[in-house]
Amino acid sequence: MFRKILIANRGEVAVRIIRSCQELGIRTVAVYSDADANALHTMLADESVPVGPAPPSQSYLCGDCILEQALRLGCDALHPGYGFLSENADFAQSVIDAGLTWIGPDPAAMRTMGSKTSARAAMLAAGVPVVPGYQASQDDADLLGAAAELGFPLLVKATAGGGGKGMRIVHRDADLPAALASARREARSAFADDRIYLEKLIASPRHIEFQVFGDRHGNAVHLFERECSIQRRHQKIIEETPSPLLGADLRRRMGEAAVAAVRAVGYVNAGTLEFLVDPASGDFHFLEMNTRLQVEHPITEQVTGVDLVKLQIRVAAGQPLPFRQEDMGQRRHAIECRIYAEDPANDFLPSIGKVLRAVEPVGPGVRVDAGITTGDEITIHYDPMIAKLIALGENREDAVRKMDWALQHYVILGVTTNIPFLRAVITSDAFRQGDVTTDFVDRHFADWQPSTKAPPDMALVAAALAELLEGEAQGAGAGPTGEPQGDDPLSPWRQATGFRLGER
Amino acid sequence: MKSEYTYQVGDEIRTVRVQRNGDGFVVTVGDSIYEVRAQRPEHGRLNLQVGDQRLRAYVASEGQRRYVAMAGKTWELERPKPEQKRRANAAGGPGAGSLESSMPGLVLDVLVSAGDAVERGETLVLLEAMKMELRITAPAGGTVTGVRCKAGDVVDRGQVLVEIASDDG
Repeated sequence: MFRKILIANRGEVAVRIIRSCQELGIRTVAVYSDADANALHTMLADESVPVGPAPPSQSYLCGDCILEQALRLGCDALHPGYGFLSENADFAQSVIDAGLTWIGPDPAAMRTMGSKTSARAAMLAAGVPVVPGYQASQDDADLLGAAAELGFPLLVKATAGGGGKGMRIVHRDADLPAALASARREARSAFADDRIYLEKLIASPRHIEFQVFGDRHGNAVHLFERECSIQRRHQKIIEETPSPLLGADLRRRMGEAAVAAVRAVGYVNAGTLEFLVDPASGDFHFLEMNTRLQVEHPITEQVTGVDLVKLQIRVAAGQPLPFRQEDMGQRRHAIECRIYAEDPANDFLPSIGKVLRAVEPVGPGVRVDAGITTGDEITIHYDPMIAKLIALGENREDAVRKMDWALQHYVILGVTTNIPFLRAVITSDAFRQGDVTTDFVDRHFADWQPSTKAPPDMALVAAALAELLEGEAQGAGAGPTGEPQGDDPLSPWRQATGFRLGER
Repeated sequence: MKSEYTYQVGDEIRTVRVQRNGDGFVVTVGDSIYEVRAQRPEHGRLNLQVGDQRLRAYVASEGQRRYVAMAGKTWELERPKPEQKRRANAAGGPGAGSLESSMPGLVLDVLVSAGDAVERGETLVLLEAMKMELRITAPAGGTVTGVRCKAGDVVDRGQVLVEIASDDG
């Protein structure tokens, strides 16, 4: 087993990985940018080292800077988390070349699955259904002919694509030439690669993904599905498992396809296969594979009882999977809500500032994976997702109630969050009925606005009594304006830098 | 001893009066009077009792902003600055004051200058933050009395960008 792991990430996922390492008795090294010098993940790791200025390109994306620290500090493995360098096969290779273990799949499998067209080809060869499409030629005449066969509406997508860049929806053949040209332009400027391909457009699809795992002993399993259809601007906000859509038969067929995919590319460690499911026909199609830990992995952990991060570490260390497919089942129902520092009243723009107070909900079936705590600064530099709330209930209805309870009891003061929006979605009839498709937010919450109701008198009473009592408690007493003195919510302990207890 | 606190809630100014009464408080909000017992078991947390009703509140402050989390909801209140109150009184209207940046960013453009009459909702300043464009708009009609930023400035959250004297008074 490893002695010391460097975590090449920040925020809640870094915190999550540190936690599993601590349970396994493995020492941890956190890396941080100048903007994160006092961030939560730096406080929880055994050692924390700076790797560069605030912009990610100069810190969390600087593979050389991070690898240099891993070598200097004698780490024997590196966990990339998700985002940043996690799907960068070249970086994975350089970690391996430096003599460290990459906690993730082999770079070759990352490359195969990282390109949309080579992943499609690999899945077709393995007999996994893919969204009908055409990728055999870049010639306009060939593409026009293929489009006529596929039928409209269809999607023009960039081979190197991601985040909707280079993607066009085309409704009739007359619009195709212009769409091809503009998709190529956008793809060239975004990815320096103007290759494109065609895909049939599935209307109102469900986005369902399967967690998979392979080891170095020829074992491959799936850990069931995650329903990820509730999205805002192509960003997932609520995930759950089991999916309200899947019956036992469809789940079994999709699971078998997922395992076939893992075997086909000799995939090792944790991965996720994303499928689009046509709710009308029940057909499912491979969309893409994520060759890393997924943001929404906790719901799988809750219903299977498997700690996916510990399993990643064990498999990377060469151990076999400790269970077989037939040992695995889904118990109860889990839901995850992503807490974003963004302002629902201001078009969901990111909201930044100091977290003056954070109080996490605690109780049966409630889990919080947070990257921030009281006193932490949320800056403009990184993703506004600051925490995840996960509820595990006896069934879906129970999980929804628990989630609503947990959202109400998650106190975050100082920065605005999307918690009121999440509550509105969770408690809506449409969500309770399981009517979740990828256009759910557009269909049901396009015009949603947070309540503008004036605060109740009791909130004003609390504010006023706080001025008085907080002021008195500061010793100096409240001034004539009732202004509390020295209202810094931070104890000097959190501000101390370069200070660490328990150094072994 | 009687203490008085004012809070800006939207366009409205609310005044709360607190008076000690034995080991509790008599608190007046507008026309309503509450007898409240209050404990502060730790920094930023209040245990309130009104009759038999119990409420736990988490409170925090930053500059003039006040945050209260209670019964599953979070409220953001603003304590008007003393000079702002004076100016508001001088102008005779509640809408007078200054417009602050809601987040740090780069000033792309300033669309008004001192002396301009502006309408409610009119864009005054364009900011860029987190790669997005943000419009700072007039909360009420009025006259621009001062512009405190220019294109190219990097501004902090809470920094005053434009000062406006309101029409309604």
